[in-house]
Amino acid sequence: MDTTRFAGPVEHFLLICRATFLKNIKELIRYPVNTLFWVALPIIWSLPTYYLIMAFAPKGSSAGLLHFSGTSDYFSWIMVGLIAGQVISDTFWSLGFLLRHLMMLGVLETIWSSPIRPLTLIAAEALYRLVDITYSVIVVVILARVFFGFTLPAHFLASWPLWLPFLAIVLSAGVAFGALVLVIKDPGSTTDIGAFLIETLAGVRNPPQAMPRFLLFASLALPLTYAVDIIRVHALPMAPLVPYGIELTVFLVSAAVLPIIAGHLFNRSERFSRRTGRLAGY
Amino acid sequence: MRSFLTSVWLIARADLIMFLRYPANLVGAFLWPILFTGSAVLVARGLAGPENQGIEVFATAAGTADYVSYLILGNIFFATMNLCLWGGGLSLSQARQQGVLETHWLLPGRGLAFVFGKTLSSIIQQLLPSLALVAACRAAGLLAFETNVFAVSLLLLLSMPFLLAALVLFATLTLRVAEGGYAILSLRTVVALICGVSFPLSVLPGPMQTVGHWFPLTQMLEVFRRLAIFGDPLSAHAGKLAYILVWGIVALAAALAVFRFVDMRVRKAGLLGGH
Repeated sequence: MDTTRFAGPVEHFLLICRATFLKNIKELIRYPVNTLFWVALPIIWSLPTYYLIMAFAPKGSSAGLLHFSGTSDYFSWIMVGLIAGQVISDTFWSLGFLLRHLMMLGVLETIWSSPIRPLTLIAAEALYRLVDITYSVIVVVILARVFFGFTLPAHFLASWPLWLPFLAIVLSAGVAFGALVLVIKDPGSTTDIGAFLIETLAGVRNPPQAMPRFLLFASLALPLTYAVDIIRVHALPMAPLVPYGIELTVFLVSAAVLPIIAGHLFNRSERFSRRTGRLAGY
Repeated sequence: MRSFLTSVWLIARADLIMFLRYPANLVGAFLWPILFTGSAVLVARGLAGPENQGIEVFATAAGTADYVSYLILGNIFFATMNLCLWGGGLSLSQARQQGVLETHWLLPGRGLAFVFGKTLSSIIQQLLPSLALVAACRAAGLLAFETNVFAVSLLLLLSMPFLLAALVLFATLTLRVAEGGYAILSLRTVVALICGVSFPLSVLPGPMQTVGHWFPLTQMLEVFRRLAIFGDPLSAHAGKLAYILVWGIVALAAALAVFRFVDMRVRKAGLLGGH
């Protein structure tokens, strides 16, 4: 049934959002073990990195980081990285795996054939993920403070306007990734590799300056590297990776241009999948 | 026994056909160990500095300043164990999602053949990439490997009963808990912690250190590192090897008993179908 016949475009979008939120919440409640791990996972997955840090800098002061980026405060430095990493991996896993999940359950073609624009469906999922990401970030911040003693940098809150363009970049990357998933069908290892590679190259857990030269070039070709670094520069007394003016320009231009490119890519990939019948089966 | 092995091979072959159907999987199998290990090394380099300015604490705790070899060996060990063994458990979870678990499980033959078949497929998928990574790191001069293939193979053989026990237990968990994927993902992180995959055990809180010291996989990794980094002969660790073997035999017997019990219960209660 075409809901647009009865509702305006805003109402139509809100109806889709409501259905998306209900579907996700039901799935979350249906599997209690999942819900338990949904709460615990952000911190469980941070533990290996935490203890690796402890093996080098038990008091949070790192001579290595001081040499690379001009600050020795590793705990505050990694805190920004943990938050950025959580946003990146949540987005990739949720938007990439959304399609795979539906494909595996054999319902992707049915949903896709309903009178809803696929990009609208993805936008509604992205909104749900924003709520999910906000929750994950709050959990990470609280648990990292309680269990690890990591604190937010002193000027972290002042850097909040920068998180909006950051989110625009990350969600665009997630939508573009969703487009890729439609074509390759099995994103399991691709999602893992994609999210992990991007986090590593963007310097979420490691300063980009610690990379070998060929990797540093790849890192500098990635808008997210500038995004993560500029937030750190605003939150901590440290030197930017490249001159500040260049970093800010790349960051803002990427936030403005990438959503358009991602939407275009998704629409093309969706048309291709529909034409070649790649939505059915697994 | 012959029909059991035939079932194992047929299930592994079917799984390998599905694996090769998606070329991204093959790329992933080779890239993932490199990325996983490379990321840990980069974090450590960021902490240590370009000229090892921040290495002192690590070197004291680990007994070596060669953090690159330490991390590469730990991560290769973990990636191999991870994908070879718990791949079996995770694949049950995937089969349940695809709606084929009940069909496969109720085929004439033993359910354990399904688990071992899936695991054999994981081993075939991951062995080559892990060996390629070791060879590449060795060729690039990044990895100390002062031992021989015979010693490492013998270590692996003696550890096999414990590894199989872990596999069977994880498969049991996946059978019983409909959505066991997250549980397995979290448990393997906990195992990575108590094994000291990326750090010396001394940085863990006291109780976790104690559990880690008693855990056979930690002992196995410790012996592996001693062989590769320090060039110890295998005979220097005879006590630890005996410990790993005895623990493995006991754990495997217990795991098989638990598996049979749970298998019977889920068949009776009809817990295999649906997702």
